[in-house]
Amino acid sequence: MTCLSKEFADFIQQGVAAAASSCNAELLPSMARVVACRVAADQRITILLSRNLNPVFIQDALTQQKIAVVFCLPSSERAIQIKGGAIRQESVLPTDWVLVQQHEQDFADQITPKGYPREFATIYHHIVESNLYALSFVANGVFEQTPGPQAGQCLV
Amino acid sequence: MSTVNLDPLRNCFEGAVPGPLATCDLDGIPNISYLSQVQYVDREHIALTFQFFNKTRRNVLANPNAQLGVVDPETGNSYRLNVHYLRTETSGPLFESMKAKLAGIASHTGMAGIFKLMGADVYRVSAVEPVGTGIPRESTRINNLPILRKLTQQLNQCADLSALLDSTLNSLRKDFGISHAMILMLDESGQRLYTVASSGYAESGIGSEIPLGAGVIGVAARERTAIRISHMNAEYAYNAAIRDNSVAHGFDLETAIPLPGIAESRSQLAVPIANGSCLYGVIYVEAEQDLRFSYDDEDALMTLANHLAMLMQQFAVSAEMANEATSVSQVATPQGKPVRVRHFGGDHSIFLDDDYLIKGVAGAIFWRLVQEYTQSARDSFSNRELRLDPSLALPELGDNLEARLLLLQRRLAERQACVQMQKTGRGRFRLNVNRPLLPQAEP
Repeated sequence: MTCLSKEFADFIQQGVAAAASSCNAELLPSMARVVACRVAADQRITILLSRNLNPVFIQDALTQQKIAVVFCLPSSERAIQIKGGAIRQESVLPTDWVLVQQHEQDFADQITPKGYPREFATIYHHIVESNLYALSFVANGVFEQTPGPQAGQCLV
Repeated sequence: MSTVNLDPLRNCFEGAVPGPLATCDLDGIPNISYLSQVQYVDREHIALTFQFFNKTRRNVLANPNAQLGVVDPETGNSYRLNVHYLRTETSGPLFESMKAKLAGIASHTGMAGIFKLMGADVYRVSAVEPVGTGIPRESTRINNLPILRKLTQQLNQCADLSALLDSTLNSLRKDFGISHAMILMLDESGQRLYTVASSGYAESGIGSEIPLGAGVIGVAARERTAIRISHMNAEYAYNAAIRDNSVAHGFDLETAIPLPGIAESRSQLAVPIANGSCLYGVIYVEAEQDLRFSYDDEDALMTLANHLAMLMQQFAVSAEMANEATSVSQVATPQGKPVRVRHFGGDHSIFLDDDYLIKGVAGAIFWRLVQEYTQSARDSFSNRELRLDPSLALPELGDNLEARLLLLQRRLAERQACVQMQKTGRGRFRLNVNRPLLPQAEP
């Protein structure tokens, strides 16, 4: 298990663009858009996503127990990738939908200076509350993902 | 026939919204990163930038299967693409086009100097999966096909190169809504392009030059491919590129006439005017907004340029074939204060008194015409006699004499010179002189 610093925990809970990936036994990758995330006191990371739009990814992640999630802050292009395992489904908490909506507003704040209307954030997330799905994992590596020659460098 | 068709998704590949690429290694360890550029290649293929030998690259070399997410920046429609790595291209049109676009994206995101293209990784797309739908939005894009249909019909009616270029620029402005455009022709050496027509600039820049391979225009010419940049770009800003490239190659470039251009050019598109292996020139358009020119615009201008190339070839052949006898008549001597026509043999630059006019091949032609006019009192000439004149040393075939004469004609008109050229028929023209000319060969 990798200990996630407060800096990284704060970073991934901002208005970042985020996407998760796994793969199946035939080594075919799958991916899902992440609409919010939370970090528990025990360092377990929970990502929130749409269940009905990402069935292949959810099955791959739960079956293969391997996951990678990239987080990118649009305003700075800074990005990190967290890899992990010990994946399991979590109950969607009553506060999770609020978290998703807050993330959507934070994301809108990030992209409007780039010329996008705020509604683009809603479209980009493309999630309804009834489809919200929570998947948690334990990090085993944090990697630099900001574009440049240092991308891929292990940070933790 | 494959069921994959990327054409409706081309808007997703404008580099506006970074897309994630998911790969995995042979141990099944996933990796995911955001990409700055996805290039549409054809209905079934895309290309991704290879910039660093990172984990993504190591993964696709070991396991070519990957999944890519893309988003339409206008509608928000999202798609997942199952892709399979095929090969890496390190030169050629695709590579150059992606390199130029990457430079634009790098500049836009403050990453200039960090993004450097090492290769264009080509992938076959085996499946496209819509991921939810965005908002239905009426496209504001102009339908280019009816415009092209009308324009090509108009161009077919043009009697000469001048009318052809004017009709093209007029249509770009009125029908395509493109305010800033220029047309450049390849010179005899094949090493530089010169501006022969422009639209929308305070100064026409006719006669200005750019080396082959410099900036958006020069790269489009050298690679015979469209170069389209959707964001402001320092690396491909052509004035800087001209300067750097000229110094590097020791070019004696036209510097007295500045290349036209808008100060805040944020979108640029250059397409080659070529017919087979024969390059005639480049159409260049630019705009002050990001993402002004789309893949559809690129298609339209490439089609237009191909049509222009075909017509230019016809004009060149017919002008050369026209062999009517030129009139050798005594012309009336104009009145007024004489004008010194000064010719500097080193670079064939011409000054009318102290006003710079032109240099190079066009300067040599003008000097020859003025000498003939003053010594033999002739005012009518043919393209063919210029072609056969050993003092001009023009190639027998395949150059663009017609374009050079048009350049000269337009420079004279723009400068409101005492000598004007008037076309009198296919491959023929007359000098209209309103002041006495005094030719002076300068050292």
